Amino acid sequence: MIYIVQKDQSDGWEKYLREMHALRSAIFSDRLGWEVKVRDGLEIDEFDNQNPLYVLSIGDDGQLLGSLRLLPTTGPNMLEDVFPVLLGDHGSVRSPLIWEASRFCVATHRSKEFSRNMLSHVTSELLIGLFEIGKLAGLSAVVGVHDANFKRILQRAGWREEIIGTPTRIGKVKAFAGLFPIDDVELQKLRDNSGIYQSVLNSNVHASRLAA
Amino acid sequence: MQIRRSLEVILREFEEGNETGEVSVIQKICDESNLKHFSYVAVSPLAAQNSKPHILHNYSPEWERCYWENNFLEIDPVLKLGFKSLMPLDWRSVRQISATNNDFFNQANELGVGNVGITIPIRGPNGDKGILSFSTHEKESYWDMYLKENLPHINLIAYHLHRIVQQTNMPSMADIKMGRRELEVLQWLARGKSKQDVADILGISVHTVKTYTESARFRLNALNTTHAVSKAISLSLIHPTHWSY
Repeated sequence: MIYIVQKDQSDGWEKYLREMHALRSAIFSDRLGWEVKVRDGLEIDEFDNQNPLYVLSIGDDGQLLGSLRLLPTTGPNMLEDVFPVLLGDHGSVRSPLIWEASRFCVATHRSKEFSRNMLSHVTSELLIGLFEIGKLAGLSAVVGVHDANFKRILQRAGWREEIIGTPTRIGKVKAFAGLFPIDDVELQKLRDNSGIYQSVLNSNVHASRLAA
Repeated sequence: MQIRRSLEVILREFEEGNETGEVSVIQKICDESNLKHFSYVAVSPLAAQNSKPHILHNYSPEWERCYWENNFLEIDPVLKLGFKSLMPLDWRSVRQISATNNDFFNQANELGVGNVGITIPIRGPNGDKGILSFSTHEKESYWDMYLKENLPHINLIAYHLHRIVQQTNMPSMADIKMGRRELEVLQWLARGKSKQDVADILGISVHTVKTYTESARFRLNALNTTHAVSKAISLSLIHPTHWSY
Protein backbone atom coordinates (compact mmCIF):
# COMPACT_ATOMS: atom_id res chain seq x y z
CA MET A 1 0.00 0.00 0.00
CA ILE A 2 1.25 3.51 -0.87
CA TYR A 3 1.23 6.31 1.72
CA ILE A 4 2.13 9.91 1.04
CA VAL A 5 3.82 11.95 3.71
CA GLN A 6 4.43 15.68 3.50
CA LYS A 7 7.72 16.45 5.23
CA ASP A 8 6.36 19.47 7.11
CA GLN A 9 3.32 17.50 8.31
CA SER A 10 5.10 14.29 9.21
CA ASP A 11 4.30 14.04 12.93
CA GLY A 12 3.91 10.36 13.73
CA TRP A 13 5.92 9.31 10.65
CA GLU A 14 9.39 9.86 12.17
CA LYS A 15 10.15 6.13 12.33
CA TYR A 16 9.30 5.58 8.67
CA LEU A 17 11.19 8.65 7.47
CA ARG A 18 14.24 7.50 9.40
CA GLU A 19 13.93 4.04 7.79
CA MET A 20 13.58 5.70 4.41
CA HIS A 21 16.81 7.67 4.87
CA ALA A 22 18.54 4.45 6.00
CA LEU A 23 17.22 2.58 2.94
CA ARG A 24 18.40 5.41 0.68
CA SER A 25 21.85 5.13 2.25
CA ALA A 26 21.92 1.35 1.71
CA ILE A 27 20.83 1.64 -1.92
CA PHE A 28 22.43 4.82 -3.25
CA SER A 29 25.65 4.88 -1.23
CA ASP A 30 26.41 1.22 -0.42
CA ARG A 31 24.99 -0.59 -3.43
CA LEU A 32 25.15 1.92 -6.29
CA GLY A 33 28.18 3.86 -5.04
CA TRP A 34 26.68 7.27 -5.76
CA GLU A 35 28.45 10.22 -4.19
CA VAL A 36 25.72 11.08 -1.69
CA LYS A 37 26.09 12.48 1.80
CA VAL A 38 25.54 9.88 4.50
CA ARG A 39 25.57 10.74 8.17
CA ASP A 40 24.87 8.25 10.96
CA GLY A 41 23.71 5.76 8.33
CA LEU A 42 21.13 8.15 6.90
CA GLU A 43 21.24 9.64 3.41
CA ILE A 44 19.85 13.17 3.58
CA ASP A 45 20.43 16.03 1.15
CA GLU A 46 19.41 19.67 0.98
CA PHE A 47 16.23 18.89 -0.95
CA ASP A 48 14.92 17.00 2.06
CA ASN A 49 14.86 20.46 3.66
CA GLN A 50 12.53 21.80 0.94
CA ASN A 51 9.41 20.20 2.38
CA PRO A 52 9.16 17.42 -0.23
CA LEU A 53 6.36 14.92 -0.53
CA TYR A 54 7.53 11.37 0.28
CA VAL A 55 5.86 8.40 -1.33
CA LEU A 56 6.25 5.29 0.83
CA SER A 57 5.42 1.68 0.00
CA ILE A 58 4.59 -0.10 3.25
CA GLY A 59 3.89 -3.82 3.51
CA ASP A 60 0.95 -5.43 5.33
CA ASP A 61 3.33 -6.18 8.21
CA GLY A 62 4.17 -2.47 8.56
CA GLN A 63 7.64 -2.70 7.01
CA LEU A 64 8.96 0.00 4.70
CA LEU A 65 9.45 -1.62 1.28
CA GLY A 66 10.38 1.34 -0.89
CA SER A 67 10.15 5.07 -1.34
CA LEU A 68 10.55 8.03 -3.62
CA ARG A 69 10.56 11.81 -3.23
CA LEU A 70 8.57 14.48 -5.06
CA LEU A 71 9.33 18.17 -5.49
CA PRO A 72 7.56 20.72 -7.68
CA THR A 73 9.73 22.00 -10.55
CA THR A 74 8.52 25.54 -9.81
CA GLY A 75 10.58 25.54 -6.58
CA PRO A 76 14.12 24.36 -5.86
CA ASN A 77 14.70 20.90 -7.36
CA MET A 78 17.58 18.61 -8.33
CA LEU A 79 17.39 18.88 -12.10
CA GLU A 80 17.41 22.66 -11.95
CA ASP A 81 19.91 23.12 -9.14
CA VAL A 82 22.20 20.05 -9.25
CA PHE A 83 22.01 18.54 -12.76
CA PRO A 84 21.46 21.52 -15.09
CA VAL A 85 24.24 20.04 -17.25
CA LEU A 86 21.80 17.29 -18.29
CA LEU A 87 19.36 19.77 -19.72
CA GLY A 88 21.80 21.16 -22.28
CA ASP A 89 19.90 23.10 -24.92
CA HIS A 90 16.56 21.98 -23.56
CA GLY A 91 16.62 24.80 -21.03
CA SER A 92 14.96 24.37 -17.70
CA VAL A 93 11.94 22.32 -16.78
CA ARG A 94 9.76 24.63 -14.73
CA SER A 95 6.03 24.02 -14.79
CA PRO A 96 3.23 23.79 -12.24
CA LEU A 97 2.15 20.66 -14.13
CA ILE A 98 5.48 18.83 -13.75
CA TRP A 99 6.89 17.48 -10.50
CA GLU A 100 10.31 15.94 -10.09
CA ALA A 101 10.67 12.41 -8.75
CA SER A 102 13.96 11.45 -7.13
CA ARG A 103 15.53 8.88 -4.78
CA PHE A 104 13.38 6.02 -6.08
CA CYS A 105 14.44 2.93 -4.13
CA VAL A 106 13.18 -0.51 -3.19
CA ALA A 107 14.19 -2.74 -0.27
CA THR A 108 14.68 -5.73 -2.57
CA HIS A 109 15.61 -8.06 0.30
CA ARG A 110 12.18 -7.46 1.86
CA SER A 111 10.06 -7.58 -1.28
CA LYS A 112 9.93 -11.09 -2.71
CA GLU A 113 6.72 -10.63 -4.69
CA PHE A 114 6.82 -9.97 -8.42
CA SER A 115 4.19 -8.51 -10.67
CA ARG A 116 3.23 -9.77 -14.12
CA ASN A 117 6.11 -7.97 -15.85
CA MET A 118 8.61 -9.66 -13.47
CA LEU A 119 9.43 -6.38 -11.80
CA SER A 120 9.33 -6.33 -8.03
CA HIS A 121 5.76 -5.76 -6.90
CA VAL A 122 7.01 -2.78 -4.87
CA THR A 123 8.53 -1.17 -7.99
CA SER A 124 5.23 -1.51 -9.84
CA GLU A 125 3.30 -0.22 -6.84
CA LEU A 126 5.54 2.85 -6.49
CA LEU A 127 5.27 3.65 -10.21
CA ILE A 128 1.49 3.31 -10.23
CA GLY A 129 1.31 5.27 -6.95
CA LEU A 130 3.40 8.03 -8.51
CA PHE A 131 0.99 8.07 -11.43
CA GLU A 132 -2.13 8.17 -9.25
CA ILE A 133 -0.66 11.02 -7.18
CA GLY A 134 0.11 12.90 -10.39
CA LYS A 135 -3.54 12.56 -11.43
CA LEU A 136 -4.73 13.79 -8.02
CA ALA A 137 -2.43 16.79 -8.21
CA GLY A 138 -3.54 17.65 -11.75
CA LEU A 139 -0.10 17.11 -13.33
CA SER A 140 0.76 16.46 -16.96
CA ALA A 141 4.15 14.79 -16.41
CA VAL A 142 6.81 13.74 -13.96
CA VAL A 143 10.49 14.43 -14.59
CA GLY A 144 13.37 12.45 -13.16
CA VAL A 145 17.10 11.81 -13.39
CA HIS A 146 18.12 8.16 -13.52
CA ASP A 147 20.82 5.73 -14.60
CA ALA A 148 20.79 3.02 -17.27
CA ASN A 149 19.62 0.33 -14.82
CA PHE A 150 16.61 2.26 -13.77
CA LYS A 151 15.92 3.19 -17.38
CA ARG A 152 15.56 -0.54 -18.16
CA ILE A 153 13.17 -0.96 -15.23
CA LEU A 154 11.03 1.87 -16.52
CA GLN A 155 11.04 0.37 -20.00
CA ARG A 156 9.87 -2.96 -18.63
CA ALA A 157 7.15 -1.20 -16.64
CA GLY A 158 6.07 0.30 -19.94
CA TRP A 159 5.97 3.97 -19.03
CA ARG A 160 6.84 5.96 -22.16
CA GLU A 161 9.80 8.21 -21.59
CA GLU A 162 10.88 11.27 -23.47
CA ILE A 163 14.59 11.83 -22.91
CA ILE A 164 15.34 15.51 -22.52
CA GLY A 165 18.75 17.12 -22.86
CA THR A 166 21.88 15.03 -23.28
CA PRO A 167 22.71 11.90 -21.27
CA THR A 168 25.87 12.76 -19.35
CA ARG A 169 28.37 10.89 -17.20
CA ILE A 170 28.19 12.10 -13.61
CA GLY A 171 30.73 10.42 -11.38
CA LYS A 172 30.58 6.70 -12.20
CA VAL A 173 27.09 6.86 -13.61
CA LYS A 174 25.65 7.76 -16.99
CA ALA A 175 22.66 9.89 -16.09
CA PHE A 176 19.50 10.46 -18.12
CA ALA A 177 16.85 13.12 -17.59
CA GLY A 178 13.45 11.88 -18.69
CA LEU A 179 9.94 13.24 -18.89
CA PHE A 180 7.13 10.76 -18.15
CA PRO A 181 3.67 11.76 -19.32
CA ILE A 182 0.70 11.34 -17.00
CA ASP A 183 -2.32 10.39 -19.07
CA ASP A 184 -4.88 7.60 -19.13
CA VAL A 185 -3.16 5.69 -21.95
CA GLU A 186 0.07 5.43 -19.97
CA LEU A 187 -1.72 4.45 -16.78
CA GLN A 188 -3.53 1.65 -18.61
CA LYS A 189 -0.20 0.39 -19.97
CA LEU A 190 1.32 0.36 -16.48
CA ARG A 191 -1.70 -1.48 -15.12
CA ASP A 192 -1.77 -4.06 -17.94
CA ASN A 193 1.96 -4.71 -17.67
CA SER A 194 1.94 -5.13 -13.91
CA GLY A 195 -1.50 -6.69 -13.42
CA ILE A 196 -2.30 -4.11 -10.69
CA TYR A 197 -5.74 -2.73 -11.46
CA GLN A 198 -6.97 -1.33 -8.16
CA SER A 199 -5.79 1.95 -6.65
CA VAL A 200 -2.58 1.50 -4.66
CA LEU A 201 -3.03 4.69 -2.60
CA ASN A 202 -4.05 4.47 1.01
CA SER A 203 -7.48 6.07 1.38
CA ASN A 204 -6.22 8.47 4.04
CA VAL A 205 -4.45 10.46 1.36
CA HIS A 206 -5.81 13.87 2.22
CA ALA A 207 -6.73 14.70 -1.33
CA SER A 208 -8.43 11.35 -1.83
CA ARG A 209 -11.76 13.01 -2.55
CA LEU A 210 -10.28 14.13 -5.81
CA ALA A 211 -10.01 10.55 -6.94
CA ALA A 212 -13.77 10.18 -7.34
CA MET B 1 -18.29 22.18 -17.40
CA GLN B 2 -14.96 23.52 -18.47
CA ILE B 3 -13.11 26.68 -17.67
CA ARG B 4 -13.51 28.23 -21.08
CA ARG B 5 -11.09 31.11 -20.99
CA SER B 6 -7.85 29.84 -22.48
CA LEU B 7 -4.60 30.20 -20.62
CA GLU B 8 -3.26 32.33 -23.43
CA VAL B 9 -6.03 34.89 -22.96
CA ILE B 10 -5.67 34.80 -19.19
CA LEU B 11 -1.92 35.36 -19.39
CA ARG B 12 -2.34 38.29 -21.73
CA GLU B 13 -4.85 39.81 -19.36
CA PHE B 14 -2.53 39.25 -16.40
CA GLU B 15 0.39 40.85 -18.21
CA GLU B 16 -1.63 43.90 -19.17
CA GLY B 17 -3.24 44.51 -15.81
CA ASN B 18 -2.31 46.23 -12.61
CA GLU B 19 -3.42 44.89 -9.23
CA THR B 20 -7.14 45.50 -9.74
CA GLY B 21 -6.48 43.97 -13.14
CA GLU B 22 -5.45 40.71 -11.50
CA VAL B 23 -8.60 40.63 -9.39
CA SER B 24 -10.79 41.33 -12.38
CA VAL B 25 -9.04 38.64 -14.47
CA ILE B 26 -9.73 36.01 -11.79
CA GLN B 27 -13.25 37.40 -11.31
CA LYS B 28 -13.95 36.89 -15.01
CA ILE B 29 -12.75 33.28 -14.78
CA CYS B 30 -15.11 32.74 -11.83
CA ASP B 31 -18.08 34.33 -13.61
CA GLU B 32 -17.67 32.18 -16.69
CA SER B 33 -17.05 28.94 -14.84
CA ASN B 34 -19.75 28.72 -12.16
CA LEU B 35 -17.21 29.52 -9.45
CA LYS B 36 -18.43 31.95 -6.77
CA HIS B 37 -15.31 32.94 -4.90
CA PHE B 38 -11.54 33.03 -5.01
CA SER B 39 -8.81 34.01 -2.60
CA TYR B 40 -5.08 34.30 -3.06
CA VAL B 41 -2.51 34.69 -0.30
CA ALA B 42 1.25 34.98 -0.80
CA VAL B 43 4.20 35.15 1.53
CA SER B 44 7.82 35.80 0.66
CA PRO B 45 10.70 34.91 2.95
CA LEU B 46 12.19 38.26 1.98
CA ALA B 47 9.28 40.41 3.07
CA ALA B 48 9.88 42.39 6.23
CA GLN B 49 8.62 40.75 9.39
CA ASN B 50 5.86 43.25 10.02
CA SER B 51 4.61 43.37 6.42
CA LYS B 52 1.27 41.76 5.80
CA PRO B 53 0.88 38.79 3.47
CA HIS B 54 -0.34 39.72 0.02
CA ILE B 55 -4.08 38.99 -0.18
CA LEU B 56 -6.58 39.18 -3.03
CA HIS B 57 -10.15 37.92 -2.69
CA ASN B 58 -13.79 38.52 -3.59
CA TYR B 59 -15.51 37.29 -0.41
CA SER B 60 -18.54 39.11 0.99
CA PRO B 61 -17.98 41.99 3.46
CA GLU B 62 -19.94 39.89 6.01
CA TRP B 63 -17.45 37.01 5.81
CA GLU B 64 -14.52 39.40 5.84
CA ARG B 65 -15.84 41.11 9.00
CA CYS B 66 -16.61 37.77 10.66
CA TYR B 67 -13.10 36.53 9.76
CA TRP B 68 -11.24 39.46 11.31
CA GLU B 69 -13.57 39.87 14.31
CA ASN B 70 -13.09 36.21 15.26
CA ASN B 71 -9.39 36.32 14.51
CA PHE B 72 -9.79 33.37 12.12
CA LEU B 73 -6.27 34.03 10.87
CA GLU B 74 -5.23 31.92 13.86
CA ILE B 75 -7.29 28.86 12.97
CA ASP B 76 -7.92 29.10 9.21
CA PRO B 77 -7.04 25.54 8.08
CA VAL B 78 -6.60 26.66 4.47
CA LEU B 79 -3.74 28.95 5.54
CA LYS B 80 -2.37 26.43 8.00
CA LEU B 81 -2.21 23.52 5.57
CA GLY B 82 -1.95 25.30 2.23
CA PHE B 83 1.52 26.68 2.83
CA LYS B 84 2.78 23.31 4.08
CA SER B 85 1.35 21.10 1.33
CA LEU B 86 2.11 20.15 -2.23
CA MET B 87 -1.12 18.30 -2.99
CA PRO B 88 -4.19 20.40 -3.79
CA LEU B 89 -6.49 20.54 -0.77
CA ASP B 90 -10.10 19.59 -1.26
CA TRP B 91 -11.98 21.45 1.48
CA ARG B 92 -14.20 18.42 2.20
CA SER B 93 -11.11 16.47 3.25
CA VAL B 94 -9.82 19.39 5.33
CA ARG B 95 -13.20 19.55 7.13
CA GLN B 96 -12.83 15.95 8.23
CA ILE B 97 -9.55 16.59 10.05
CA SER B 98 -11.08 18.32 13.09
CA ALA B 99 -14.28 19.76 14.57
CA THR B 100 -12.66 23.23 14.52
CA ASN B 101 -12.11 22.93 10.77
CA ASN B 102 -15.65 21.73 10.26
CA ASP B 103 -17.09 24.69 12.23
CA PHE B 104 -14.90 27.09 10.30
CA PHE B 105 -16.16 25.86 6.93
CA ASN B 106 -19.77 25.83 8.18
CA GLN B 107 -19.53 29.50 9.16
CA ALA B 108 -17.84 30.32 5.86
CA ASN B 109 -20.60 28.54 3.99
CA GLU B 110 -23.30 30.42 5.92
CA LEU B 111 -21.72 33.71 4.87
CA GLY B 112 -21.69 32.77 1.22
CA VAL B 113 -18.21 31.32 0.64
CA GLY B 114 -19.62 28.05 -0.67
CA ASN B 115 -20.02 24.43 0.41
CA VAL B 116 -17.21 23.09 -1.76
CA GLY B 117 -13.76 24.46 -2.48
CA ILE B 118 -10.21 23.71 -3.43
CA THR B 119 -6.88 25.25 -2.49
CA ILE B 120 -3.85 25.05 -4.76
CA PRO B 121 -0.45 25.42 -3.05
CA ILE B 122 2.06 27.35 -5.16
CA ARG B 123 5.85 27.33 -4.81
CA GLY B 124 8.11 29.84 -6.45
CA PRO B 125 11.84 29.57 -7.13
CA ASN B 126 12.95 31.97 -4.36
CA GLY B 127 11.31 30.40 -1.35
CA ASP B 128 8.16 32.39 -2.07
CA LYS B 129 4.87 30.59 -1.59
CA GLY B 130 1.23 31.22 -2.34
CA ILE B 131 -2.17 29.61 -2.20
CA LEU B 132 -5.09 30.12 -4.56
CA SER B 133 -8.54 28.89 -3.54
CA PHE B 134 -11.77 28.62 -5.49
CA SER B 135 -15.11 27.85 -3.87
CA THR B 136 -18.75 27.66 -4.86
CA HIS B 137 -22.21 26.29 -4.08
CA GLU B 138 -22.49 23.05 -5.96
CA LYS B 139 -23.57 19.44 -5.70
CA GLU B 140 -20.62 17.31 -4.59
CA SER B 141 -20.88 14.91 -7.52
CA TYR B 142 -20.75 17.82 -9.94
CA TRP B 143 -17.79 19.32 -8.08
CA ASP B 144 -15.86 16.05 -8.41
CA MET B 145 -16.35 16.08 -12.16
CA TYR B 146 -15.54 19.75 -12.34
CA LEU B 147 -12.20 19.26 -10.59
CA LYS B 148 -11.28 16.23 -12.63
CA GLU B 149 -11.79 18.25 -15.77
CA ASN B 150 -10.23 21.53 -14.68
CA LEU B 151 -7.50 20.84 -12.13
CA PRO B 152 -4.52 21.22 -14.50
CA HIS B 153 -6.00 24.47 -15.80
CA ILE B 154 -6.51 25.73 -12.24
CA ASN B 155 -2.88 24.80 -11.43
CA LEU B 156 -1.68 26.90 -14.34
CA ILE B 157 -3.87 29.87 -13.41
CA ALA B 158 -2.59 29.69 -9.81
CA TYR B 159 1.05 29.57 -10.87
CA HIS B 160 0.82 32.44 -13.31
CA LEU B 161 -1.19 34.64 -10.96
CA HIS B 162 1.51 34.08 -8.34
CA ARG B 163 4.28 34.80 -10.81
CA ILE B 164 2.72 38.11 -11.86
CA VAL B 165 2.03 39.19 -8.27
CA GLN B 166 5.59 38.29 -7.25
CA GLN B 167 7.09 40.23 -10.13
CA THR B 168 5.12 43.33 -9.22
CA ASN B 169 5.19 43.25 -5.45
CA MET B 170 7.89 41.19 -3.89
CA PRO B 171 11.63 41.64 -3.60
CA SER B 172 13.43 38.87 -5.45
CA MET B 173 16.51 36.81 -4.94
CA ALA B 174 18.26 39.03 -7.44
CA ASP B 175 17.93 41.90 -4.97
CA ILE B 176 19.87 39.95 -2.36
CA LYS B 177 23.61 39.78 -2.75
CA MET B 178 25.27 38.04 0.15
CA GLY B 179 28.99 37.99 0.70
CA ARG B 180 30.88 34.70 1.02
CA ARG B 181 31.91 35.44 4.61
CA GLU B 182 28.36 36.44 5.56
CA LEU B 183 27.09 33.12 4.27
CA GLU B 184 29.85 31.17 6.03
CA VAL B 185 29.02 32.85 9.33
CA LEU B 186 25.29 32.15 8.94
CA GLN B 187 26.04 28.57 7.95
CA TRP B 188 27.97 27.92 11.18
CA LEU B 189 25.42 29.75 13.30
CA ALA B 190 22.73 27.57 11.69
CA ARG B 191 24.64 24.53 12.97
CA GLY B 192 24.34 25.85 16.51
CA LYS B 193 27.83 27.31 16.92
CA SER B 194 28.34 30.36 19.14
CA LYS B 195 29.85 33.55 17.72
CA GLN B 196 33.08 32.71 19.57
CA ASP B 197 33.11 29.21 17.97
CA VAL B 198 32.55 30.72 14.53
CA ALA B 199 35.40 33.16 15.10
CA ASP B 200 37.70 30.25 16.03
CA ILE B 201 36.58 28.10 13.09
CA LEU B 202 37.02 30.87 10.52
CA GLY B 203 40.13 32.33 12.16
CA ILE B 204 38.66 35.83 12.51
CA SER B 205 37.79 37.96 15.54
CA VAL B 206 34.45 37.83 17.35
CA HIS B 207 34.01 41.46 16.46
CA THR B 208 34.32 40.63 12.75
CA VAL B 209 31.85 37.76 13.14
CA LYS B 210 29.40 40.22 14.70
CA THR B 211 29.92 42.64 11.83
CA TYR B 212 29.19 39.94 9.22
CA THR B 213 26.13 38.78 11.17
CA GLU B 214 24.82 42.31 11.36
CA SER B 215 25.28 43.00 7.65
CA ALA B 216 23.65 39.63 6.79
CA ARG B 217 20.74 40.51 9.07
CA PHE B 218 20.38 43.85 7.30
CA ARG B 219 20.50 42.35 3.79
CA LEU B 220 17.89 39.75 4.68
CA ASN B 221 15.66 42.30 6.35
CA ALA B 222 15.64 40.15 9.48
CA LEU B 223 14.84 41.16 13.05
CA ASN B 224 17.69 39.33 14.75
CA THR B 225 20.32 36.67 14.10
CA THR B 226 17.97 33.71 14.50
CA HIS B 227 15.55 35.29 12.08
CA ALA B 228 18.38 35.93 9.59
CA VAL B 229 19.45 32.28 9.81
CA SER B 230 15.92 31.00 9.23
CA LYS B 231 15.41 33.35 6.28
CA ALA B 232 18.72 32.27 4.74
CA ILE B 233 17.64 28.63 5.08
CA SER B 234 14.21 29.16 3.56
CA LEU B 235 15.84 31.01 0.66
CA SER B 236 18.23 28.06 0.22
CA LEU B 237 21.16 30.43 0.67
CA ILE B 238 22.58 28.07 3.27
CA HIS B 239 21.98 24.41 4.01
CA PRO B 240 22.56 23.33 7.58
CA THR B 241 23.56 19.69 7.53
CA HIS B 242 22.70 19.13 11.16
CA TRP B 243 19.66 16.94 11.51
CA SER B 244 17.52 15.98 14.41
CA TYR B 245 14.54 13.68 14.52
